[in-house]
Formats: sequence, structure tokens, C-alpha cells
Amino acid sequence: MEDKEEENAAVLALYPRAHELPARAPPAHETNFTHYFALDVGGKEFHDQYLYRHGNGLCVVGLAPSHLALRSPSKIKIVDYDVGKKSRADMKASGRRKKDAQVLEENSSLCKVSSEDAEFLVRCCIRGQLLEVNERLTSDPSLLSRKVPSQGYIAILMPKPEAWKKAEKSLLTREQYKQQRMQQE
Amino acid sequence: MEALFREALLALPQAPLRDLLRVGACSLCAMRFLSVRGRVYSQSVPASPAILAEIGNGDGLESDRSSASCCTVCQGILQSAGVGLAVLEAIQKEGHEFCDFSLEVTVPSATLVRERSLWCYLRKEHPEDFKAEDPNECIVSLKEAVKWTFGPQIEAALVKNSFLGMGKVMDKNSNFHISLVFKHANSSSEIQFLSDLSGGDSKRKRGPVEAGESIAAVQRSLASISSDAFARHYPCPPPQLDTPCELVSSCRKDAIFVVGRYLKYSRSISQSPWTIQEDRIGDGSVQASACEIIGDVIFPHFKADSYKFHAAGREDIDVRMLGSGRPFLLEILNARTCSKQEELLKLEHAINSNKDGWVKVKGLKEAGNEVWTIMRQGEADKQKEYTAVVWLSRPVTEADFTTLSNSKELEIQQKTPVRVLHRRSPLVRPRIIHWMRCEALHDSSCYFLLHLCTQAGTYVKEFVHGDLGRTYPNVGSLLDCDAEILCLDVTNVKMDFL
Repeated sequence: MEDKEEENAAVLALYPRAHELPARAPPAHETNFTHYFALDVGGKEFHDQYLYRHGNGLCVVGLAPSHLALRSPSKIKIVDYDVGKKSRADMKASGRRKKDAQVLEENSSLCKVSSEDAEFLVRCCIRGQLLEVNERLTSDPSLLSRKVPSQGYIAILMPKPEAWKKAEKSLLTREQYKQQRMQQE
Repeated sequence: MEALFREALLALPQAPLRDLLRVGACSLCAMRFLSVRGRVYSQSVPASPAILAEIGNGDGLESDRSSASCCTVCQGILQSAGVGLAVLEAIQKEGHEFCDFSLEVTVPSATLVRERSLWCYLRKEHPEDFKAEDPNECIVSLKEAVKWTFGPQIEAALVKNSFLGMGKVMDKNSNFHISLVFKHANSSSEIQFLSDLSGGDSKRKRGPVEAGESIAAVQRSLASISSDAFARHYPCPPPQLDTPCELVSSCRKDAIFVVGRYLKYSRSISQSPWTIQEDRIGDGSVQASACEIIGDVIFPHFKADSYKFHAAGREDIDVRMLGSGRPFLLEILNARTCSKQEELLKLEHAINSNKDGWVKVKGLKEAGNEVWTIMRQGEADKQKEYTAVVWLSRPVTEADFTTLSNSKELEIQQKTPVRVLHRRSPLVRPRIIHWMRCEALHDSSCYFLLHLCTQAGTYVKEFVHGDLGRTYPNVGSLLDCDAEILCLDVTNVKMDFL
């Protein structure tokens, strides 16, 4: 019995003590990604979106907390990836080189978000290959408002380095976003 | 002439023997064409004139090339002098330690052509003795004859040189290879007619022009040409030549393997050297990698050309490798020294006494070629155990511990994690979490230790934080809150033999 206790103590000793642990563990979507924001996408006021860029260049796109759809009292009912000619959910990218992944432009539409009384169009904000859409939103649209920074993401894009350089110029950093939008609180 | 040899000589068919010597084959090549095998090659075989004197010169041949200096078939290879010396020099230059050796022989492709030429001539002149279309079925190959002729010579040279220790024998299974490369300047021009005849070797569309000169390519071409066509383009018997072949001798040792298990205690060291666009990843002062820390101690000991590091799987730079360690092997190329177990133990101690203590090793020992099967055996179906420091967005409860530990053989679906999605296929991979066990962490209210055992290939970090919900179920979904992983350690890599 004592050996087991000693062994356990030895294992615990390898790990940080309570006072060494941060009160709140930084979430994975903050540590691994740099957060950027686009305001008034498509020229529509308060259609704010986020773009989380991973160290490997991939960009996760979603609705920023200040987006109209998330601020209005009526709940989000539907997220529809069918935006005209094709449904974005039909995309098939396969293989390491992402064969057949569709290239979308900065202002290409990704999906339509509908609440009881309004409709919002979500756009890419960066030119790149569409790797994935979040199909969970089709069956559970409330994720968009419940889990804004993580599980409510809209799509994942893979831009080329040049496309990123171009888009970065018109995006806001987290600090800039806070300043701009907090002012209007 | 020795009585035994004379007896053996007279036992051979006399007319072909006489003819062979008179058209310019050396006595050893004559023996080759008459299917003589074995030790007789290494004994002092008399030269053509002496043999002809013994068996009688015969008549009816326009020319007699028996006294020419260079054999028209082997191009002087089997008469090479100083082979033992050349080999000794090569070995001393490299400084190898070895206990036995095997011989690798390379001969110019033109010898194949000359053999065929002589064969066509013999078939015409002595049809009862030489029946087959393809000489390779009957005659002793030149490479084999070289090994019989010079093997004992080399053994003798090695014995005489006491610096290299006791006698070394020739053994085809040896891991030390002495290479004899015979070259002749005219070889490529002599075989040119072959590639012109067969319209170029169609099997080689790419590759250097010399590819057509390889022994295999020439053999293929010769096999496809009939004797008549051959005789039209190349003189039978083969023409004389002025210069013999030149010999270049070299030596090398097969790769040896040092195996063991390593542990990694640092969260800023990668397993292997990691650079992105010329920038070395890792903390400023800590630019080492586990592979280099281990290799830098073991490699110098063997005085080898280079080494390669292979491990059974890998862990991220910020993940520690604890417990029994991860099996690895160091492939050491062309080592000059042989190792002993006591020395490997000293190296193990040296690595483990490193003041930084970031990497340790266990169970260092030498192994043979079986290592590859052992390593492969670990890959797809083994289980791995981990310990993670997990944070929840609300206080941890006993009920949480129970929920997790009651989960056995839990199947999860993992979409390719975003952090590797740029270089891996976008797929959904089912994986199994075999068991989980929780432990309170030092009175912390929101953190706890999660011990878990997963199927090989599971992304554990993503199982904890959910990867934007793309790994499901995940710890957060199981406990109905948000979960994050602060740090991760590998605690067990199960593998039977290493």
C-alpha cells in the first residue's frame, strides 16, 4: 500500500502545484490561432466576422460577437449553406493536396443565417480553397450564438500566402476590434 | 608442374583446351570455359605456354596468341598482381575493425561480350563439347573465378599484417565488404555495337547514358541476340588487347544498429531537428533535439560516416515522453569500430548524466537487421498511455471522475485536426479511448489529471479540447462543459521487444 502511495506522490510531483496553475486555462482557439476581425462585411453595418488564422496558414471563419445576428433578441433558426448555384456543404476536398477544393473569393458567400425576422449573408473575407463547412450548424443552429468563438465556426479556408498578405491589410487585430466596437457600446 | 595439377589437366578435353590457350585465353579462363571449379584457382596455375608445352601444341591454327601478355577474355583480371596489397591499403586507409569479410567484385561489361565471342568460336570449332546457346549455363562466371583466385590471397595478406589482428576469413555472410572494381578504358566503346543493335535499351528511358553499360543491361542485350547476329558484329574469337584492367579496391561495413528507449523531460525540445525556412524551432538557447542529444554521444564512438535516427512514433515538442520511454534505433553507417556491450553501457551513463537532463535513454544495446520488423510491429495496433492536465470551465466533481472512468472502449470520431489539416487528408478517423482514470490535482478546483489509454494514432489534445467540436465525443461533451488541456505527457509506449 505504501509503495502505491509513494508511486502516486512521485507522479503528482511531476505536475504543477495549484498555485502554479493559471486560474483559467487559455482556450485552444486562443493559443493556436491569431484572431482577426472584419467589420461591416459586404458593406452591411454590423455584419462583423472573425477570421482565426492558425500558424499553418489555415483560416477559420465565423460570426464575431458584435454581429447583428447575435445581438438581436430573435433566435437564429436556420443556417443554410446553399447559396445559389451550389450548396457549399457539397464540397469535396480530398487527399493531402486538397484536390477538388473550390477556390472562393473574398466576397464569395459561405452561408445564409436566418433568424425569425432577418437574413444575413456570411462571406469568406479571404481568397482561398474551401476545406470544410461546419455541418453541425445545419442541425443545431444555436451553436452559432452559444459557442461563438469555437464550435460555432462557419468554415475553414486555406489561402495562399499572397492572398493572406492582401487580406491582412483590411483586417483588424483583436485590440483594434475591441477599440472600434467597444466604443460603440 | 605439380603432379596433381598435371593429372587434372590431362583429364580435360585436350583439343578445346589447346584451342582456348592458342586463341589467347589465359589458363584460368581456359579452366573457366571447361567448367573447372574450386580451390585450384588460387593455387599457382602455370601460364599458357607452360601448359601448351605439356599437352602438346597441336597444329592447324594460323596464329598462336598463347604468349600474349593480356588474356583476351578476362582482360587480365585473373592475372592481376598485388591484389592483396591493394586491399590492405584500402583497409588501412579507412581504419576498419572487422572479424571476417565478403568480396564484392565488379568487372567491365566488355568481359561478357568477349565471353560470348569466345563461346561462339568454340561452338563452331568443337560442337560436341560446347552445345548450349547461352554460355552462362556452363562456364564459370568471371566474378566467381575472381573470388576463388584472390580470396585466399587476401586472407593471406591479412594474416601477415598483424596490425589487423588474427586471420580473417572470407565469408559471404560477413557484414564487412571488400570491393574489387576492375575497370578498362575501352570497355564502353567495345559494347557500343550492342545498344546500336537493339535500338537502345528500351527499359531505360531515363537515367544516365552509362546505364546501358551495366552488366545487367549487357546481359539482357546479349540474351536477345542470336549467335549469328553476334558473330556479324564482333570478331570471334575475341581480339587481342594491349592494356590490362586496372583495379580499385575499397571497403565498407554494413549498417549497425544501436537500439534502446528514450525519455524526454523537456517541453522545448523536439524529437528530431526541426527547421522552418532556415529558422531552427525551439527556445533560444535550447536548439538541440532529442535525436541530436542521443546521437552526439553515441555516434563519435563508432567512427562512422553518418547516422540516422528512427523512433517508433513521435511526440509533439511540448509533450514529455515519460514512463518506460519510446523505442528508438540509431542506424550507424560504415562504422570503423566494433562495439561491446560494456562500452554501450558507458555511453548510456554518459547520456543520462548530462547536466541538462532533458533526455535520458534506457536499455542501449546493439541489434541486427531484425530491428526493422520489430519497429514496424509497433505501429498500427499498439495502445499508448497518456497523462493530461485538464481544465474545466466549472469546478471538478467526483461525478465527473466517475463519468470518465466508467467509459470503456469509447469510440470517438476525429476530423483531421486543424493544426495538421494543411498537410493531411481531410478525413474522419474513428478511434478508441480504451480507458480513462482521473486524479485530483493538488487541491485545484478546476484542474485534474486525466490518465488515459488510446488507440495508436489518436490525437489526444483534440480529444480534450474538442478542436472546435470536430472531435466528438470529447472531454467537454462528456462532462457537459468546456474543457481545455494545459499540458500532455506520454506515459507508456507498449512494445514487446525493445
